[in-house]
Amino acid sequence: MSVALDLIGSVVIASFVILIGLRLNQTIAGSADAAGASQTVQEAAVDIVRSIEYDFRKMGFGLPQANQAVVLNDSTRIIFRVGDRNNPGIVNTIEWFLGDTLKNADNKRSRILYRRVNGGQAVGASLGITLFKLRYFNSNGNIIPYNSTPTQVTSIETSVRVESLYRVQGQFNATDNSVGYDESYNKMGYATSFWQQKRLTARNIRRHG
Amino acid sequence: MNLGQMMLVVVALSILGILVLTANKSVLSSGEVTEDSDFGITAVSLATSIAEEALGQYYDHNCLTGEDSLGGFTAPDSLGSGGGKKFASSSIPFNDFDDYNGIFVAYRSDNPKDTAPVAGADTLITVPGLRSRYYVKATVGYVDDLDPSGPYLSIRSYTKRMDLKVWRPALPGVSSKKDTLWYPVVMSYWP
Repeated sequence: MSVALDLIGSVVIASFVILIGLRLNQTIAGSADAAGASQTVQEAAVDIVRSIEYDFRKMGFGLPQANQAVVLNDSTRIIFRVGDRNNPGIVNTIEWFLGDTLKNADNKRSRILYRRVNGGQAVGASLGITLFKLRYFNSNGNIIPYNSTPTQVTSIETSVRVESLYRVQGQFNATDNSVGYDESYNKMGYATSFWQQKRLTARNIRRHG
Repeated sequence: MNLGQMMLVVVALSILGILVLTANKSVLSSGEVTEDSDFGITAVSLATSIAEEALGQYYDHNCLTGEDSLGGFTAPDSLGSGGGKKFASSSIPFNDFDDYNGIFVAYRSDNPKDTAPVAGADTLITVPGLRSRYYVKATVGYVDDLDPSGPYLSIRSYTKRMDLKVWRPALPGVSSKKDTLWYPVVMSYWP
């Protein structure tokens, strides 16, 4: 009888230990996956923003009049002009626009952000961008409607959101309005990074002296 | 099961418990680092927006009338918005760098439940996509032209520095460390 009790007790304890081990393994693996996805998303966001910043900072540079900087002001597309520092008189046209959603990606919201220079081949990469929204303001801070009076644009607000291409644990799931940890894959959310910045089209258009 | 075996089981379970707790701590620590860096990215973007706007303004509102001597600039203890000027206002907008002195801007998400007012905030701006509230406070002062990172001066100079501080109000309750982003911006005026 005593031996049987010992055996039963051992089996119960061993079962718990195995369950703890499995759960621990699941948590660590999920956490490592989530951390990796978050890091990838943040690095992608920084890379995208750095590229945008590189161009937007030069907007209007070298132009005879600053109000010629923006050519087209749409919600997800902008065309602007930049002078060439090394070749005075040469003006380049830069275009940024958001492509269609990626059909084969797990994250159906992900798109490609494209950059085109002087009407050439558009270049983009699938970095998981899910939001690229532009808003345009005049010198009084009022919003300018899309596709109208680009000459009045003095500042641009850029919103960028990058999400992981697959779901990971511990991330907010907008569909269920919850944070998924150990539920099914579809209950989990996408790792997200958000950036919003307002930038002047040309530094010296409002400041004098 | 004799006492010796029982002791071995207890020791084994204790070691397992320590392992689980250590792993849990590691997972939480990793999550905190990820959250912190995510917060930093958004915080920098919000701070840069205000910095960029301020850098597009006059150095001093007296520059509007062509003033370029030190004595003609705003006195150090009078820096700030005046004359009905208000941040993010289209009626009487800010027009110089030091108007931003003392502003308190609160950013909220577009979550319908995130509606609580913010005491003392100049404005509460809704940012769709934001995952947390962010508060930004700015102070502006004259600094030494040759040492712009030094303390504020009690005299006028040709250089002003804006110190933007960004933080999430929810964070201090979660983490014991003070998690505030400090973002200094310098503007110089050379007549």
